Amino acid sequence: MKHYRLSFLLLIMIILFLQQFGYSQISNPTTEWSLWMGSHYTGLQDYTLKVAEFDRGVEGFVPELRLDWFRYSKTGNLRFKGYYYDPKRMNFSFAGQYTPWVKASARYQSFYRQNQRDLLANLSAREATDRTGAQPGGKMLTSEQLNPEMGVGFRRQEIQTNLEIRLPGMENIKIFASHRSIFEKGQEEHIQIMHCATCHLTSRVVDLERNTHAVTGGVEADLGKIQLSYKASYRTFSSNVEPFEAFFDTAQHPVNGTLVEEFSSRNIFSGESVPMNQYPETQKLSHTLKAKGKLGKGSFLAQFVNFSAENTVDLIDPNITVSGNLKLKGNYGNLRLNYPLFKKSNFVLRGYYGRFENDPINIDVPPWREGRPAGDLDIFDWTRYSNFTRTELKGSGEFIYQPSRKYRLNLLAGIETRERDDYPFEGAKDKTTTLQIKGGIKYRPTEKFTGRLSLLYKNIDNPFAPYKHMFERPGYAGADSLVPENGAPAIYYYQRDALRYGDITSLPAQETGVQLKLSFMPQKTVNFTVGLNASMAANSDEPELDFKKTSLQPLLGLNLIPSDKFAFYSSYSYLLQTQNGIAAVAMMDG
Amino acid sequence: MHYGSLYTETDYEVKSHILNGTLSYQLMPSVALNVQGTFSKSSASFDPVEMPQTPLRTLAEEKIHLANYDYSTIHSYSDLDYQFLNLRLGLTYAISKIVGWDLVIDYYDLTDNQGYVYGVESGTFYVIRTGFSIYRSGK
Repeated sequence: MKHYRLSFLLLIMIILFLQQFGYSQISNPTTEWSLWMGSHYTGLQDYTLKVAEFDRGVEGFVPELRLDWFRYSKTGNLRFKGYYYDPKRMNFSFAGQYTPWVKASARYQSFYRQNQRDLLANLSAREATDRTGAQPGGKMLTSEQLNPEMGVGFRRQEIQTNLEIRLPGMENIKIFASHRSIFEKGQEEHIQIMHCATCHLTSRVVDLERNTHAVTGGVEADLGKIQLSYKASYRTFSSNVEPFEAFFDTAQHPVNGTLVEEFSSRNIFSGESVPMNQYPETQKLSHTLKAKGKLGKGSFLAQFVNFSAENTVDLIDPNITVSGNLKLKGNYGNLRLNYPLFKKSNFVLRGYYGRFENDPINIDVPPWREGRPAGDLDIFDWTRYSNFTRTELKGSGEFIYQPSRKYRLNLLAGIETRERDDYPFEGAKDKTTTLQIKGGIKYRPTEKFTGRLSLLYKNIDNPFAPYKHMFERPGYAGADSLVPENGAPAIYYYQRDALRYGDITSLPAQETGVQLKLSFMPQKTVNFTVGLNASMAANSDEPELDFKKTSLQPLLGLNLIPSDKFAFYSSYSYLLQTQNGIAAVAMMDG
Repeated sequence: MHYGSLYTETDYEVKSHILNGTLSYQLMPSVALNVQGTFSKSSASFDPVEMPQTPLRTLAEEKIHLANYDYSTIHSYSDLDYQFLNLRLGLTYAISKIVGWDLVIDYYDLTDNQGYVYGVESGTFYVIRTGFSIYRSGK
């Protein structure tokens, strides 16, 4: 609530500043305004959470109001725009400028979003003890809506203020500051998934109150041939809703309720209330340096960004310890050079380097089968390494040649590498390298015809793929056969991790694409367009899947403007996408 | 008892038609008509899963006595089939140089022929809006 008030205070201060400053500095002004007053009726029929997702979902009449007020002269201007649609949707903005010293604006925007609720209807099944399905067995999956009558959705309000100042005698230097707050308040759906001993899912409606605040400040200097700027940004995210406690089912035999100690010892939660739906509280700080200017006959643009972010909330669950002072940090930079190699040509060189480090998370969970025979195994503690810890490099060169207005050619060649330090395991340095070539031509022999054609080819070495996840080897006999570990009474499911294989992905290793667009204008009143976008992608890296994906999209457009009283615009597109994939089924009876 | 994974390839297909149109007509010097429409029809589906009869499948289905593995409906679990229609009719009347009146009707209709996570999402939503506007300008 404190941040909420502060944001509104900033909004009012900017408006008062603009109002006072603008009225005193704008001389001999002209004022224009328009006012719209009316009403709208909203009608809803059947299920409207999807079709009216961004409506507040209330039938009936609501008054509606729109005002645009503009006061201007040669020395500056002031503008107020306001739109009230309904109690949850409205926007107001106030902006002013006193040339060239001060420029400021304030904006408020509100809308509502209705969300749909997962019915969990497809999450209900029970094994049968005969092949006809007539006799129910023990293993089952059940689901439950705890608040089926309640809807979910939230109102989003945003306040934004901006201020730019130039000091007398230092017109080449601009100081700027801005602020942005986003408040989201309403209800959301939370789905609780009980452990596999009961396979019970529950859905409940919980309060939602998320706040994001960002402040930015910086300076820009125009030094003639070069412009420099520095910007610092600080952003926070938090939730005002406390985690709630929900009961986890007691782990037991699903039909006769026995074996509680054994089943419970295999789960982290059993027969206890657990805090859940905890939001992170994040803070992010970034610094941006930018430079642009002339370089001989060409120009350049360079940018460097340093950022760090952290979550300051510790997990409150007593069963799990997440240790470490966790941070995400990174540095990245871009460089773009434009240089005309010869007359009517341009060469664009682009470069990028980025290094990101996301601290690994150490997770300490209770021992497996605590207090049971051959139990107390501390085998599920693990370190979750992030594949966001990576180094990225990108480089490309593009040659553009336009000898006349009739045609233009461009050719681009580029390379991109992404090396993930700890994927799929610590120190593995999984690397994806992408090479691409892109070419295009625009041909316009007369005003009656314009043709554009572009072609793309990409070769991706080692596209990102889940690691050893898709399939399991049988494991019941031979070299793969599993046996109980450490004197345990049975083979447990976690042991089957050793049998998993298959790095299947739907990301391509080769990709080709073509885009064609032809526009005809036989008369000035008629315009006809035909086009085609097509692409084909493939990946044969894994023996289990010869992946192929195709996309075909023809386009048609017809515009008629026979007179200044009549205009007709139309377009049609058809999209056909095909791809293959794997259907995998685990053969198991428990 | 576990007997590992059975797998096979299947194809997935997405089809989508999108039609847009806008018509503007100045009926009289003071009356303008505007009609806009968008219609889309989209569907997505898998081909039926035809699991090959491998020795592993035969063994697993024999050993897992009570299982009745049926692959014939797996492909339909995530079928999608939507139609969406949006129509807008707008009429403006300039009563004088500074006063105008307008009427706008927005109509949205979604037809869901499959129903999935959220159930059948078919529904209709419309907004009828009318009001007067005033324009002023001066020193």
